[in-house]
Amino acid sequence: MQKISVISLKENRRELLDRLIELEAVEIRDQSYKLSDDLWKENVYPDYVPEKIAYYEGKVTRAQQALDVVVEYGGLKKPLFKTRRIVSAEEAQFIPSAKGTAEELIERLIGLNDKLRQEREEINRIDVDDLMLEPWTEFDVPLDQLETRDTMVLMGALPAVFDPAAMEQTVSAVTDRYVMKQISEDKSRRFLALILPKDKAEEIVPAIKDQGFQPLELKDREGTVKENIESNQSRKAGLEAERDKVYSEIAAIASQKDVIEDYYDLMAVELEKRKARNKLLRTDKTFFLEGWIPVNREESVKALLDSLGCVYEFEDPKEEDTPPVLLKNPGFFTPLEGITEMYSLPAYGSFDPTSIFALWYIVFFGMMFSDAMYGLIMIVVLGIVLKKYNLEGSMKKMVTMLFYCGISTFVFGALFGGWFGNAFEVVAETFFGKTIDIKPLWFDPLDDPLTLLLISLVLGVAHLFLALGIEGYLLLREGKVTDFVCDILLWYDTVIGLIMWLGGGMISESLAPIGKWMSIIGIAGLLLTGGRDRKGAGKIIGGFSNVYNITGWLSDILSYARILALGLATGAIAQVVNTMGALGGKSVVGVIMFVVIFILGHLLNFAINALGAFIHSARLQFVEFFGKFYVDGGEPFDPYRMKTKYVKVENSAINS
Amino acid sequence: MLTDGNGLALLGAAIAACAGCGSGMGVGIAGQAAAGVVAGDPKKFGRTLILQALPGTQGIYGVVIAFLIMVKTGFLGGAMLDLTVAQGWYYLAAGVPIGVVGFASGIGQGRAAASALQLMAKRPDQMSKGIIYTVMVETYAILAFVVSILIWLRIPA
Repeated sequence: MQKISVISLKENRRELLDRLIELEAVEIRDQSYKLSDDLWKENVYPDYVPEKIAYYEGKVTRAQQALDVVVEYGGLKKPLFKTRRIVSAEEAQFIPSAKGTAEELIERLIGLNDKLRQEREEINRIDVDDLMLEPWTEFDVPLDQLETRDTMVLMGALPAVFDPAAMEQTVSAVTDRYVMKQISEDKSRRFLALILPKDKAEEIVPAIKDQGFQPLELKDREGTVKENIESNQSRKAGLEAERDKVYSEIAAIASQKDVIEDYYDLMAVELEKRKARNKLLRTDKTFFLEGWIPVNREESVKALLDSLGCVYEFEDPKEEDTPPVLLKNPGFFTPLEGITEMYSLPAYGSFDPTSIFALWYIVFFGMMFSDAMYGLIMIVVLGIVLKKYNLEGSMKKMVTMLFYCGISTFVFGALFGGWFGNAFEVVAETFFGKTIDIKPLWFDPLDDPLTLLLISLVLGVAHLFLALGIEGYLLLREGKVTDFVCDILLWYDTVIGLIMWLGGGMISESLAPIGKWMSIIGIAGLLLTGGRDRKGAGKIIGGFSNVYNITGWLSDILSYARILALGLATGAIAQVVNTMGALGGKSVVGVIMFVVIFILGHLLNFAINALGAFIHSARLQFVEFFGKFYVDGGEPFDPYRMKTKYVKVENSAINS
Repeated sequence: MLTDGNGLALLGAAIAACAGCGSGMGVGIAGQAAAGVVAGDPKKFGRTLILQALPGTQGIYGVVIAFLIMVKTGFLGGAMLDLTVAQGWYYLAAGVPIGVVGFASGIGQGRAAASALQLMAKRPDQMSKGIIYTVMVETYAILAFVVSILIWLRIPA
């Protein structure tokens, strides 16, 4: 990364920002912090344009709302992966001219959505009303005739826990000129109608309310309840017809979704440009831009700046700077950058181990997942996805990486003899009565788990030694030879020595004594040098804590046993699925049962163990491997570019 | 009972299946947190489901071991072998690791999943890290599962 500073005339600002965005090479940094410096403050002011930003944000939001409506009601199929449409530079020139059409469509869509909402609310109201009226269907007094000169009809509900006879008594205690009738009842309530003399109502109503009666107010209605429900239904049918009309209108517009998407991205790019402008400083006649640029992208930017007659300067980052980080690995390894990014980017200038751990990750994944058919599924499915979809960014990295892992899974599956576990053997034996035996190309971990454990641990030691080697390389690069000897070489010596001492006897008798002396020298060295940076008693404590780190190495190495564990888990669960499936025996039902259990069981096993292999393989990198040397905390490089969501304009400026 | 080989072996299968208790509690804990997250944003249902399902694996491991024991002892085949008391104890020993560790790690994983759900509610882009924390807990269930399998493998039939 280099720091780029540009000063130019105000007239150039627009063209510079318009063309710089196509290069996607510069991360423009906000310079307003410079204003806390008095010298800057006296001479410049920030180039804020909040009202323009608000204007374009509004446009983007409205376009998004319209697109949401299209997606929700337009009846379009949702793609499996979100990809951007590729538009050639020539086609892209016509996008601005469709602005008017797009805005019109957006307003129409938002209008239609409002209409839908109103209709939905209206339908809800009708449903609620129907629910209230329904118990009174049999009540045939027109609702506008509930009163005479002297009497009134009181409708209401009495919860089932209350006794209607008790209520009737309360009424009859006041007057004997009344009628009380139950219209209907449901599980929790009785629906009662009372005819009362008006002059007694004031006395009766509060009394029966105390007994649980809930009067129902039905004001401003005409006709009987039945008629009311009928008119509700016809209104609802009308609204629903109208709603369907709105749906089909939206569906008709959906075919022009591309125009709105183009417009969305156009506005998003304009917004991006205004936001970039917000980060500049200016005087009355000039402006100032500062940012970061990857070293290999300088030429194109220089050419642009020269053509506009800008004054500029490229500088190497200084100590106090925080340059952003852009990982750069050979093509094959870039998909694995996703794993590094998942942990945290390396700090600027520190070591990026992506290309070193890449193959380890893929191998570990394969050993853990280790079923040839699962691997084959990954290869085929992900291969098709990669071919068919125009994936970009982290999604592309992830899918490509898993594709590699699929190949590795296939290879290790074949080596360990897992083909949907032992599905082929089980099928042959259960349904065809034949015994076949698919031999693993190497060995079957379920028969010989110790060998796989040993291989896992050996791989683990190699992996850890590699990490230690990187740490050593970094120390040497900084010229710290003493540290290299004490912290790296002594550890190599100690760990190799201990392994030879304890396990060398298996290979050759002569290894054990050599190992013994190597470890003694190593441990003594660790004890003596561990506290070399400390004073007094610290020297001794430091030495002992250094030696104690042997347990750390032990747990690090044993951690690789998870390769065996996950490998066995895949195989064992697969075998159990097959055995369970075969329990139905050789019959039609048996075959159906086998197919169902086979599909569900292997789907489950695939899901559990693919996730397990993915994460545990990553863990071995993050905890065991990175733990030795990795410095994290880098900020990702985020260049000034067209952050579009739907359209990707073919960009000749970048590819050149 | 302690001198009946067949009974001991089935007890082993039963203990292994008890890993499901851990998963049950874990999935429950995660489910409560998931419901809270979905209350705020129903669109996250699918993603919460993934995290809620993670503590469920212990139960599966437990059932797998139980099943393996039942197959090898012939219990599922119809005619159960006549096991010696020693063999019975071996099968019991095979069931204990996943039963006990699965129980504890299922609960622990449920708690981790609940926190990961909170993380996802606040920072949906960081969900993958939440999954990593959660799956970390499973390491120990897998290790116990493997110990169970290794014991089971080496029991003389």
